[in-house]
Amino acid sequence: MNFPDGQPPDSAAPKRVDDLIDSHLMARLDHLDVVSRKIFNGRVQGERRSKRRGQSVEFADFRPYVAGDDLRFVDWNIYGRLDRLFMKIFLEEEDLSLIVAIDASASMHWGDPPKFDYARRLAMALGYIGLVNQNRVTLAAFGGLDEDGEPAGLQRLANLRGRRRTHEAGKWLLNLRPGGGDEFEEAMKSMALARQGRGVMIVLSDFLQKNGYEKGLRYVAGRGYDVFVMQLLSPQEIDPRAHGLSGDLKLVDLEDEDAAEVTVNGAVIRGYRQRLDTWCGGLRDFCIRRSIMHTMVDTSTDLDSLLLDYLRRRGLLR
Amino acid sequence: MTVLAPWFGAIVLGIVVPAVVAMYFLRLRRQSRPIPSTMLWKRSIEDLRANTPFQRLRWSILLLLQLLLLILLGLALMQPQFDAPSNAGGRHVLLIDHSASMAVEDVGEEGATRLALAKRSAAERVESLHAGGLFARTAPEIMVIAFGSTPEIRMSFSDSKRDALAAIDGIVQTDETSRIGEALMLARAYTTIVDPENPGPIESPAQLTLWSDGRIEDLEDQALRAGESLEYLQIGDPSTTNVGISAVAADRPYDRPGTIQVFTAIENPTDDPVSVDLQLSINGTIVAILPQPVEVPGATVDAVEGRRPGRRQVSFPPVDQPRGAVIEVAILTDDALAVDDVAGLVVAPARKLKVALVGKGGFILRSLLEGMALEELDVVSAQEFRAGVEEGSLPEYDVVVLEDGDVGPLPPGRYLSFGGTPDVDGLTEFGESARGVLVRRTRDEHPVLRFVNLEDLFVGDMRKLVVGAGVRTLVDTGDGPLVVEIDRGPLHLVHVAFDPLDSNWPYLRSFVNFVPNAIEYLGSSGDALTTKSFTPGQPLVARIPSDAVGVAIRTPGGEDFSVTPDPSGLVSWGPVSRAGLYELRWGRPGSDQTFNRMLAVNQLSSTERDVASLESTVFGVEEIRGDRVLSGGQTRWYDLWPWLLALVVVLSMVEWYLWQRQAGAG
Repeated sequence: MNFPDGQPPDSAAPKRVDDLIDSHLMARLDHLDVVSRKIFNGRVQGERRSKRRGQSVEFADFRPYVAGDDLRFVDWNIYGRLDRLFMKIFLEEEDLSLIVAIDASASMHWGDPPKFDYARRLAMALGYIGLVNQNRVTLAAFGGLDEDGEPAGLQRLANLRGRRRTHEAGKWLLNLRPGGGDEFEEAMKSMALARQGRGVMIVLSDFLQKNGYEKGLRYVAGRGYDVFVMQLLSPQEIDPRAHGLSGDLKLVDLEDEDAAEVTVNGAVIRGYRQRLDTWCGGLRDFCIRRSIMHTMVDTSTDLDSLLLDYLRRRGLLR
Repeated sequence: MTVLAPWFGAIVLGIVVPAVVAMYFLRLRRQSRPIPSTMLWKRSIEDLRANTPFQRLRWSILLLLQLLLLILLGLALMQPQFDAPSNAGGRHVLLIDHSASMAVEDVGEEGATRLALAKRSAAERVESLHAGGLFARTAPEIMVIAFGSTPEIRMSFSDSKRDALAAIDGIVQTDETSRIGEALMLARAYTTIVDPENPGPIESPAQLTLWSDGRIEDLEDQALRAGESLEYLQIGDPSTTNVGISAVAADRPYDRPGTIQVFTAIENPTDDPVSVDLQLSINGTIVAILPQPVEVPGATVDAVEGRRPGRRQVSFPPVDQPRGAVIEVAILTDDALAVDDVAGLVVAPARKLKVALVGKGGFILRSLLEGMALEELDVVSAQEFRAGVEEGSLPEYDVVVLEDGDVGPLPPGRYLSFGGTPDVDGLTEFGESARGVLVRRTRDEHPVLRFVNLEDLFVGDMRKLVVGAGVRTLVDTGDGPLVVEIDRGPLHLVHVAFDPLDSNWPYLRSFVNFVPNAIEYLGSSGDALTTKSFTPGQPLVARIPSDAVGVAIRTPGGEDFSVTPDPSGLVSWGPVSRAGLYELRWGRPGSDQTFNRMLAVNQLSSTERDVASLESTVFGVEEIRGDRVLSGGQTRWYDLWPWLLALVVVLSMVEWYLWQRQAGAG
């Protein structure tokens, strides 16, 4: 694979839902589920136990009665034996809110295969898993363009549940148009403000934001979201030298058209690799400090392997 | 260090270097590549710049190399040269040829002679040897020798640059023939420093440097000694041609003593024949110009004798000149060397001879002598002659003819003797007389044998002779010498070993020619008419009256030098360095009259006549190639541009390697 001369043509983009997820993959994903490192309560009872004590049949604990408690949950047997009021606490089963946020900025619309297409397929797969497991699935995209080619801001397809919403999710993903600027911080802020309940948020991006990713992630970290960060990098970004990048070049930023005149030689490549490692390492450290799971994904990685093997080992899926 | 074409290289550099720099920057039309983010690239470049202060240079190292290449090419176009590396220290002998051929003006500068170029080059060598400034090693010791026929030490070994330059500057042109043998001996005498406590020289031989055109007469007799090195710096153009006078002579026919006939020989050392116009002057007045140019053939190469110059002998028509005269023969055609285009000769006034016939007074000899235009002929017997010698009363004769008479030991004088062997050292008669003798070999070129054909001579009775040192055999037979000559200064004898009456000679024409030839030859012996001319480098020697006073010599340049003759009247002055006519003047006590005698100094050497500069010299068997000294006086200038071009090639390879590495790294 040579170093790309520009953005991939639209003709190469997936056109149908089948291009995002095929039946074979769907069959293999049916038995997977998204794992939250926390048990959250949801708005409706779902298939997931929540740490929130509620009205399920599964007893969890006792606590002393205080005025105002629902007398229906007083354990009268204990009152008879001990002459003290204790409240029965049950584990309440609730649904999981799964948010998959895709970076649709111009920087994602690059690479071979294009990072954006890879992100859409990955989002489709993760969303499918969520839908199959009756999770409340929300798909979001930031940094993309609308039909008029203007920045679309944060786009969302919220609160999908059930397998039958799979096609709808796929169509929404197919209609996304990449190409905008860096809107990560604003998008994260918006999603944090619009939070409804708690859940799992998976952010798919290359995290090459010139303004930094820290503020954006701070908005969503620790505020009820179990955040998973998947950093998608194309193989050409990871090792430009192996893909034929050399000579006197004018490197143009896809997002802000900033230009860097570089005579690409061994020293420069080494410097770039060092900076990339530093950048990714900084993201990883940042995530660890904030209980965010960080995973770097080479977009040349087979999606099946990523979902069925790698992400299971990383604990995102089970 | 000098630069032959500084402006050319500077102009090229001035145009090309800015153009290349401009093109370099213009050339960087970088290929545009969209990438997701320039953030990491910019940071990596900034990191590199921060970590390596010379990063800016690194990216443009190719440009720097290209500029360096261009500068080197520009310098090469300027044709820089540097002189011989300074050999400071050591001992150096500078040998500068100032012989006649060094006067040739063929060094590429108007009016500059070979000697002038040699002096300039030698001065530059002195400057080079003394170069080095503060970091020079020990100062060199330099000896300056100028040589023609004889060497002249202009400066003994000295470390003074100023003295060396002055010594070189003081070398003057001579008309001498170049001989290097004595100069080398002198140099060796000064360079071989012997420590009495050590068997060998305590210092290594000096470096000999020779400035010459290579035309050195005794070069093949020389050989470099062990450890000796000689550097030959060739002066002059190898293609320069010249033609010159190789001999000049004058004669007064015995039958017409009032006339002078001049003979000359022209030599052409070049390959091509040349034609020259000849002019004869007597006492400064042109008396004859040959109506037709003289064709002188080109040089020939003989398998045995090697290269021989073309030669043509010319006789001028006889000229009436009863009085003494200064004769000058000149080649009117312009050529490279002027000094050999003129040859002078001083002829004494015509005079008649006083002759004595001693002996029997035979009819044949007496009638023959009486037929000659003599001033006086005395016929005396042997006894009278012997008595006159013993008593000292014998009149002063120009020539004494001995006719088979025993006159005892011969006093100083000039003698023509027939028959009986005179009492002279070197002539010994032995055995019985030879009979029926025929002539086997004669020296036809001898003046006595001019027009003398002895093929028909038959001698009935010849006295056998054994000749000693200093006796020259003019006619030889199977039984020994027939005619001999003894010339011992005061005593000059031509002896015929038989009585003409014992042969058929009186009936032959050769006898009639032989006797007047011998009388004239002997009688004029010692006179200016046949005195050889001097050559440059020789002292002028002449005999004047012993009581002469106020003796002086005037040179061809008009300078007067006082001379003191020895008590016998012998004047010796010189050696003279320039050719031309020298005037010897003197007075007599009690007389206001001034007497003079002209002395001619001619450069007739074939070595100097061939002025084509030699590219190599042969010392014995060793050939030494010369470094030609070009006009402008450059000495051993080495071209720097080939080295610059070589450096350009190397740098090109380095640039190529770097370019490849950068391309590969990208």
